Amino acid sequence: MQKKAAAKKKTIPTKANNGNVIELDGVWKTYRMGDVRFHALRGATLRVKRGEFLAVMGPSGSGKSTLMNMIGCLDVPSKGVVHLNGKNIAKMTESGLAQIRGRTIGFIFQQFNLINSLTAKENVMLPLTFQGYSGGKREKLAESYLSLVGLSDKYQNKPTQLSGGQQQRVAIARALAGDPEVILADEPTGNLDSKSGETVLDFLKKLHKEKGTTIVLVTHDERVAKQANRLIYIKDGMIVKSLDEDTSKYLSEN
Amino acid sequence: MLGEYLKISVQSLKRRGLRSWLTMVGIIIGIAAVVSLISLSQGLEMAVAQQFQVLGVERITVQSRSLGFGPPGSSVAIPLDESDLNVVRRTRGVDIASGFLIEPVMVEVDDELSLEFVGSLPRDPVERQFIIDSNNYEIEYGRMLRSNDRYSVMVGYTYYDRPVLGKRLDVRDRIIIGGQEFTVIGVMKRSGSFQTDGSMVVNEDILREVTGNDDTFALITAKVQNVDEIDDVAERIRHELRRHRGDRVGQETFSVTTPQQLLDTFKTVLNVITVVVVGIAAISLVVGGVGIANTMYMSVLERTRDIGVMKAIGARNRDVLSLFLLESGLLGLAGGVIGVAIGLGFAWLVEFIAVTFLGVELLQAVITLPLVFGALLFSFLLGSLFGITPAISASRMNPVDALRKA
Repeated sequence: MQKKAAAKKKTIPTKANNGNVIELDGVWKTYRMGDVRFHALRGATLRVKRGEFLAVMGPSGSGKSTLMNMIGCLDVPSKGVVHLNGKNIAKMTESGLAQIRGRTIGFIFQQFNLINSLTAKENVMLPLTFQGYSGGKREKLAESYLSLVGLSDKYQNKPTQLSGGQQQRVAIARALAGDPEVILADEPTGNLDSKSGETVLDFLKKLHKEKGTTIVLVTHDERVAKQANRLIYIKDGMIVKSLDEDTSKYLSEN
Repeated sequence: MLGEYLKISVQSLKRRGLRSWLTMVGIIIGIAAVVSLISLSQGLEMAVAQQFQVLGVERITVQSRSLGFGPPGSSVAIPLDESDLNVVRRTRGVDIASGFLIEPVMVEVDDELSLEFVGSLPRDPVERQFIIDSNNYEIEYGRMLRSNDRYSVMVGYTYYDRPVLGKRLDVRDRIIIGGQEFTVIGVMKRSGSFQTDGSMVVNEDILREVTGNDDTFALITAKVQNVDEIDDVAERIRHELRRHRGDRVGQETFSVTTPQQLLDTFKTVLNVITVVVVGIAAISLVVGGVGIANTMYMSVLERTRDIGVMKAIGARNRDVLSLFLLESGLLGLAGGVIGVAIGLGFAWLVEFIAVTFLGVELLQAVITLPLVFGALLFSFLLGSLFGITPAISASRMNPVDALRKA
């Protein structure tokens, strides 16, 4: 356990990953439904650079979710290669990938996806459990991250006793608990009222600005996407537009 | 890490409340049956072993026996008599031997008739003392039967304790045994042996006079000089009696038993009963196990999304596997805890009823730590065993598919 905790350090940019945390090269994802083949992704190539705030946009059915699964290393491509910190995920063992994913990527979902039988604190502790942190350290970290998202009075509450905005903040604390390099947020404001959504977005921006955390935001809401400094637009499984920097300009023109 | 998993598993079981309890019923019944049965049979075995201790371990018992071939009644046991007793007395390794006469006789108390077992004491002082010692005859009230007593009787404690013959017997009471009036001169101490406590004792010649039995014995008891040689001496007695009675090997008209043999026979019978009941309990346990498997499959289905989330945030297949195995094991263990409690309660209840209402002191519940912990460990393992397939299917879920189930 000690060894694991010690090994857990930020990956320093090397030649192997060129400063990219996640690289997708010509990624295809094909689903077979009976005799029909459906290509959810058709050769997507994408670099997630260290320290950037990237937004992925696209209408529903465009392959957004599939792309997010690829970026999050939750799924393996049918064709093409995904590198996580310079390592080809296809060549990793199941447990190795799970561990690296747990350490490198923090997930925030539209549905919050908290474990309902556990308290807020236990939910935040869960990723630390899987990474083998000791009990005392887990509790301390979980408490500090819950305070960070402004929920220091809700440690013992179950998710069902929290509002949507509060649940999403617990989910953010959980995503941050393992001190990941990338936060992957899939429609994080989709189930929230505009005020709670703003709080969540502000928090992500702050995180990016102050801690330099890499953020990948998947959304179909342009106002949300506006917060990013790079935008990718996906349609029919292909990345059709990739706008560096001046995202807001593009958005205002369309 | 295990502590945290334990917490997660307990939470998830708690959340399912009633369903968790219902799942445990099969395990509860099975474990309760096994625990109560084993504790009672261990108690019975211990009690019987104590009985044998009371009767002494250096005694060999010879009884007559019919060959038992052919239709019932066609073969009659040739009873043991004085000549057989003399053969036993002369056998090498035998210290003292005595015939013991015990007969069912009609006993009348205040016009109420009842068939009771009446034992006897021989006149010879050495043999008399031997029978007194080996049957554990001691006096509680009144006095011991003397060899010159005639129509005097010594009664077991049970006759004093409870109105077996319509009323409780006490010293100086008059009872009619086999048509002859006897005076109760002594009540024997509770010996712990139901055979002694429930019998009456008169002098041998008087019993022969009353019953008309001239020279046969119900059994011959022999004390060996050296307990370690008891099996050899028993074999020698067998050999001598065979010659004396003209029996062929394997067709003896008598049996020679040592306490150990009796104990072994009893244990064999007890073991057969135990195996049968444990077999029935095993069916209940299997049904309970299948219930656990079913519940765990439901749980896996319901928590598919949770599994996806856990995998996304870094759970390896084996983490998910151990979580679900632990949960099904706990389900079994919880059933085991309740089952053990009910089983012990039931065993105590049986003991209480046996002692209080039936006066049987042989049935007692013996609770040993290996029994309790064995049952608990077993129920945990049973739960885990039946949780293996659901846990494997949970651990092999693809995180993406699992997450899609919102």
